[in-house]
Amino acid sequence: MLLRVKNLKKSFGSDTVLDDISFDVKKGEVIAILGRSGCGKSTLLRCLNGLERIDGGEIFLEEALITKSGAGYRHWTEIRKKIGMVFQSYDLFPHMNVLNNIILGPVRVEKRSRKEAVAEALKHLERVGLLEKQSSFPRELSGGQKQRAAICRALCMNPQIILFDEVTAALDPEMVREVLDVIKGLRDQGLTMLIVTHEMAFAEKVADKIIFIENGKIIETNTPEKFFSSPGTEEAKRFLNLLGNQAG
Amino acid sequence: MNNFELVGIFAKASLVTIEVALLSIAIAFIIGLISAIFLFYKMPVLKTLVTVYIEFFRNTPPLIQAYFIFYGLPKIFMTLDSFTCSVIVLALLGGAYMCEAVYSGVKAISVNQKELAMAIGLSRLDTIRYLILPQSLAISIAAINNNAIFLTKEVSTMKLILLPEILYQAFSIISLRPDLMIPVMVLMVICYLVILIPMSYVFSRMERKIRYAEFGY
Amino acid sequence: MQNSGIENIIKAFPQLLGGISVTIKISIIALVLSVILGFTLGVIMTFKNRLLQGVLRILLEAFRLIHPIIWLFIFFFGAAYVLNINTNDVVVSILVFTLWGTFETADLVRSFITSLPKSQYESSMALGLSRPQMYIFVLLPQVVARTIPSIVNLATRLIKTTTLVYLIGVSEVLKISQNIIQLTYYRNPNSYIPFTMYLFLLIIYFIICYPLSLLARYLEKKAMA
Repeated sequence: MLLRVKNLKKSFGSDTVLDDISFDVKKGEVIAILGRSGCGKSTLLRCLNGLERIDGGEIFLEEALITKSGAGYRHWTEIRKKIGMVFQSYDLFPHMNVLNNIILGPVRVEKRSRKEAVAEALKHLERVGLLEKQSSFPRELSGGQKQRAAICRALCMNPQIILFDEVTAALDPEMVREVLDVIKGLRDQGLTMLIVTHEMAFAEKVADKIIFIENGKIIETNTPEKFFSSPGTEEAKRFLNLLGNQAG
Repeated sequence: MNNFELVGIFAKASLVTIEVALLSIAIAFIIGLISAIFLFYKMPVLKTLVTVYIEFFRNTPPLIQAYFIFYGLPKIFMTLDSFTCSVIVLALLGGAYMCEAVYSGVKAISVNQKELAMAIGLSRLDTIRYLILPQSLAISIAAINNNAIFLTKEVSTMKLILLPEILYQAFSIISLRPDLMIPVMVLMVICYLVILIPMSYVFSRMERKIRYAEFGY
Repeated sequence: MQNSGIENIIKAFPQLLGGISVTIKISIIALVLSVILGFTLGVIMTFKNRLLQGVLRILLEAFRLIHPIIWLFIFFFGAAYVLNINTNDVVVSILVFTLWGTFETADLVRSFITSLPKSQYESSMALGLSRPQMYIFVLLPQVVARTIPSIVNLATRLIKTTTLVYLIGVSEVLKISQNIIQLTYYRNPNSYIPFTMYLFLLIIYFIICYPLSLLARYLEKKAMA
């Protein structure tokens, strides 16, 4: 089991945002996390790579506990080499061109040689269709291009899991497709991914498992076919009805 | 010279500082206001004069400005005492900065306001009084206050043109009685803090009040 | 024209220029040190230690509130008295103006760093960058471009304010000009040389500072883009 989450609890002040979350992730599995806005999906992802400290429960990566108390910045730096993340706001570094954005991690964090990092970066860029943009700066790129570059940046660290936090939410509809295609390609390569998204059709096609969260609790875990056609819980039914024709 | 006399000397010196500061700030503000109006209405000759004035006073050392007015002008004009000179120098210097402060607030107000006023036939004076100034004040007030504090601090520079303010007295006493170094230093710093800290505090409260009245937060 | 003293000024031009160069040198040294120390201090001011920030805040306000001329006075005469040493006028000048410039730069750098969007921190962390790496490769480069106009502005202010070192006896342009004025009076008691001399100095300083002002304004516009 690659990732194990047990009884995760997270509060902001008196607000309990995540309550007793438990699930497992197998190697090569793609899990889509769905739910209304504000139900805690993003917070869950951020707990997995230490951007948020949890208030209860445990997280195991490759059977090793990663949320031990007293875990400082350096501990999480090690974890983040294995768990990568792509944000909704892409957050490329504006003062570097695309290529440098991508190789910063490999060269500085993993201490790989620049030549090697560049070769790998170019490979990824080609696969997402951004090879000609390698010397461009983020301000010259469209939203979709920036997001694809951000995905390359995460990929170049060769993580075991990548977390996608609503990566298409800030994009114009035309650009959503190109990013989703990239993610689909990654799934075909066997990358383990946790995807928080609102794109229901996409979730149905790409995910192996759906985790539906409401009010900080996991309401239902199911396969995509079953979840979208006949969900088991009342809340899931209400959620899917709310989203109307988005599924299928 | 006992401690009592020392405090007395510094108290008087502080008063001199405050007088010079207040006068300079007031005059500088008026100069700044008028200059900003000239800039705002783009009055042909006056606009250039103001620009030259501002650039000159902002790009030359205040000390040499003071020397010029105190030692240089009397030779072809008339002799001025250090108090008057200090006020003139600081008012002119401050005026340049005040103009920038006021004008930045004025610029921020949409040009439409000026044209709107002209369209309904509002006189230029009334436009300024009722439309432009009230709105721009909220924006400029922080810069205006900073200039006021800057001018107050700059009064100590006037020691060098023989203004009997705090630093001047400290320097004189130390030259005669170096043994009084520590009490003099302490008194000097206390005097400046007593003047500047309340000033700073009053200004913050003023800024907060004006910002609330104008913008509601 | 006889009484204007202009010939003496022209004759003494090299010395006057020498005097100005003394204050310019002090300004340059203070500027360079201020930038280096200021950036370091600015980064330190973004750390989250309450006690440290409190102390630094007080030091910063103290230096802001009290005019450099007072600090010159305190450091030159006060230190000599208390520490019983011969304070060197130029060294004290450099010290005072470096401290002044450092605190100004530090506050600037700190405010620019904290104004960067939180997402820059988070994507750096998500990549696994260590804190020093995050500062060196991501945060500071973005901040440096924005500080440059203010640094040019600081240079101008330093050049104007270092004239005050006359107070502690540095042999700079004001002192030299006074010598020339005295000499002129000796030969020609009717001279109005102070008028010409100080006007002349004002013009020289203007020629030095105005281009810097324009440069700062131009850089500011570019940084905004």
